[in-house]
Amino acid sequence: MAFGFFLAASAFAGDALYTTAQSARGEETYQQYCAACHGTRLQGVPAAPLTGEAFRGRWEDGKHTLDDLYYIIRSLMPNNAPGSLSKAQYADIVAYILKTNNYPAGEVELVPDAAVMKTVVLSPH
Amino acid sequence: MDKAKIWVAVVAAALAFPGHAAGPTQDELNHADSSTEWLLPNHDYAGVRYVNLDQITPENAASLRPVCAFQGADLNRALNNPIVYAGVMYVTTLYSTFALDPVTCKVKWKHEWKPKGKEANGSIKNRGVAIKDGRLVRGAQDGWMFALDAKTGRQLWEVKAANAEKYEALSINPLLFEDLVIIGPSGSEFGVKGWIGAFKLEDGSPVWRFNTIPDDGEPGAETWGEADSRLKGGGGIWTTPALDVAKGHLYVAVGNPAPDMLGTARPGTNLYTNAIVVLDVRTGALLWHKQAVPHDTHDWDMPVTAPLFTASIGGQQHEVVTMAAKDGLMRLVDRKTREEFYSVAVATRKNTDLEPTEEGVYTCPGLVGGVEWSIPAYSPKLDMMVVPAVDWCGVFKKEDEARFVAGQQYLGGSFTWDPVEKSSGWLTAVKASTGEELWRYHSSRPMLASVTATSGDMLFTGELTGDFLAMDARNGNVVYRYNGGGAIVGGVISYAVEGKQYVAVVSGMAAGFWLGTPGSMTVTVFALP
Repeated sequence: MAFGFFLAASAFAGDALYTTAQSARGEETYQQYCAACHGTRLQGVPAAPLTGEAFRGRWEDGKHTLDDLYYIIRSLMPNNAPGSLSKAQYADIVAYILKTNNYPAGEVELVPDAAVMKTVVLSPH
Repeated sequence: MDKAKIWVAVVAAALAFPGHAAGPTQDELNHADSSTEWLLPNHDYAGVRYVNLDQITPENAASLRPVCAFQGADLNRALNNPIVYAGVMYVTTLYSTFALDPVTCKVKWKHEWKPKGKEANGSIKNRGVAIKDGRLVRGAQDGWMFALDAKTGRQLWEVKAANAEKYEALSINPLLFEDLVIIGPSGSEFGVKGWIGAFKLEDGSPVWRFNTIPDDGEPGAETWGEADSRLKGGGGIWTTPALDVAKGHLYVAVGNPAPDMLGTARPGTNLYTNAIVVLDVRTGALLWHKQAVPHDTHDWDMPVTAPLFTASIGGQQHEVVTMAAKDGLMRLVDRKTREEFYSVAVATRKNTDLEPTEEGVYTCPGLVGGVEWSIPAYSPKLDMMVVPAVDWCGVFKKEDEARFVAGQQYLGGSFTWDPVEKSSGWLTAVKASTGEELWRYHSSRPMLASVTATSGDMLFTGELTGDFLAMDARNGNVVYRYNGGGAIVGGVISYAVEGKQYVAVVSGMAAGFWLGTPGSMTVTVFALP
């Protein structure tokens, strides 16, 4: 646990979890595979919103890690073909969701490594 | 007592017992089967969905037309089962309850529920109210339940009946019987440990509770392997139970076990998931049970425990219960001997005996196949049951571990759907006494809406495309079709006001994965010119 925390601190400078280039890639992938249900602006309807109050209540309650979010997306999404994207594509989508929810961009990309992502607890930004 | 004192006494009584003078009384509810209004979500306690109205017939139904529409301005799932009593229709959305004129669609009153805290976010919907003694009762997504004065919409009481922190949401129409409100939480794959309970109609205080997933030491607990596997074991209540009024037996349909696809996490038959559970309605004591899909690994809930009726089989009268499940089978079971008379496949079945693997197994029905939340309609006149069903196969995969993430689906696997073009639906009509198929209607999309049969040999239902269907019950021919612009996946009812027959249809959104025609929650009323 202590090692994991240390690793997280070194992997992500400050609060930055992804890069701008990565979230831009994620946005493209999101619009192709996710927007039909979650909305072009992540606003939801008919599926769950991925931004705003709903995202804060559902994910940023202090009980969810970044890996929880990544796990649900990679194992259950896209709804019609779960697990059909690459790990990197899923990580890019997570980066885009973080950007939309005001998490700052940095110099290091988010890598699809559960051990690292488990050390980040999601919180409102 | 002088006049002033009498007046004070009358006012005081009215304040103390709001709506008590109003119905429906227990006697009226007991005889809802012969009512030409719509007093319970499936018309009557037995869930027969047959109305003795014959003005609309196969000969004249082509001249049906919409006479009014009510727009609920709500984009959540439109799964409402309207109730019509004393010339008033009651419908709900997630937060709102409306009293409508069932002929003009004009709003008489509206009540708005403000959530009191965390809302369980699995399966967000509300199926509607129940009515008795001038009171309406309904549940909410935050686990609260409340009663309204049916005349005014004024709130009478509210109780925290379920725990949204444990992912429990109250979505079904409650069942009201004598002085009890019966309700339980839905959301089997969202971390729920299921139960059904009774509360006092007078004030909502708890009376009894039956655990659909047993606690330690309760019968059935031994069918789960480790005790921990029961903590989020599912077994939600998805549909309003049926009731044998004469015997006081409650027929409860219990939902699927979780994690849905990972059977190794819960070795055993997993009672009382996917089972019919028969309880003493007054005490909650278990009388008997029958499991449709033991140790389910495909999310094949058993949501249908109605209609209850008396069938003439082999020259003998038998009291029967209908059991239908997402496994695509409709079964007729003797309520006395508990033996099955027949089972009929109402959707494609393939590889049903194979559990999901990590590589994946192509199986029919799929995750949302077979018979969903709408029960069969039963026409005693035609000795016929008509059941809606879903054909949508796909690949089930399991994961190597069960991982629960709060507020998310607890599947322990995944499902890859066949392309939407391959999805379709069926209405299957069977001879109720034999199970012999009489006719089938094929829809281009899954069939989810409720079905209503009438003494005029009509069937009323709807499609995911938004088409309302008026059909000849004798052969399944569509006599009238009308597209109102939103998926029809909830209530379709027929009733009379001042001697004239009407049909009301709820349309709007289906859950996103159905890929139905989108729309705002709307009630459209149809009638002959």
